[in-house]
Amino acid sequence: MSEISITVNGQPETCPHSLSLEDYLAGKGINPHKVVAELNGEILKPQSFKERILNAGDEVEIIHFVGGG
Amino acid sequence: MSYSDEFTIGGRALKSRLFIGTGKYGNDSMIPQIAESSGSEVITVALRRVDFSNAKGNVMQQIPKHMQILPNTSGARSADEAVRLARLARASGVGDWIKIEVISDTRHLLPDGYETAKATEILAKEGFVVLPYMNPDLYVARDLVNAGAAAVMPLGAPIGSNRGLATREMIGILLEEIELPIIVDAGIGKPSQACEAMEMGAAACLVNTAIATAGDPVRMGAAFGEAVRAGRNAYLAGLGRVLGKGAEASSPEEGTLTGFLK
Repeated sequence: MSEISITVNGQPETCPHSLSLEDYLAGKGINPHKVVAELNGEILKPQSFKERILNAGDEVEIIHFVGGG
Repeated sequence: MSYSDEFTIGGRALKSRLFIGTGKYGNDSMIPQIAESSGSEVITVALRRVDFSNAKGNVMQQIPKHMQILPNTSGARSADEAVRLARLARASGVGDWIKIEVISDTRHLLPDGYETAKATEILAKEGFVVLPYMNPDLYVARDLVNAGAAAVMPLGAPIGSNRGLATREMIGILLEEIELPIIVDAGIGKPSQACEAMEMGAAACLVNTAIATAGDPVRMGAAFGEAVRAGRNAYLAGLGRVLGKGAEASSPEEGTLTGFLK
């Protein structure tokens, strides 16, 4: 039970058990203050990334701003 | 000579009536120079999933701090998707402004008036400053007014086309009938077209592609800034009358040496 399956930005992934969203992002090299996230459809503010622990089956969206008109 | 001519949207007083975008720049590091050359104070951005395999620079780092960020809901095909994107944008901490863009037609990229009005109503009630991108249709515009929009943003021509004010007549009707600020968005390809929209009485223009695809985008930003100011001044001055036919000499007819006019 050291790994769980989650979906991130539509792609299936595995990650360690009891990982916070903040630590997940750190592992990807993502600055949590440069993104917004949705966990199972709920919008999370960057301040809450630390306390949100990822669970098996979670659907995560990691969104950021890009150029647009 | 310069005239003080601020206008206010969502409680923010703006001196520049040119809004710019951040899309289609080969190099985002050009954005601060374009912000400066154009004098713009409002800049659009889009929201997308982070691509973990291709982490590019962050466009937000390029945007001068004094500028008002106007996130758009591009990619939304329904009111629900636009609302979701707007809430995500606000959660990022960039403020309450949102450009609603709901498009399900992938060929012409025309906005869906019904879904746009639904999203506008929901988001205005949540305290957003809602600027909906729209087809310049009088009834859609009235729906958007009733839904609580802060301004309406009719297209001049299809997105990214640089074909100019193809919808001139319809925008003219909105200018006559709609009390909200009218910001011409999409399709403007040349400074002269932005100038014309302002001469007609538009409150502002939003220009992205025409600047981003120019040979020298920084210089084109300056050209658009000047054109929008010129058009606004012309509108405030009141255009001279047009003769239906014939001509009228600009120089006096009396006292000519040869008397040929008599």
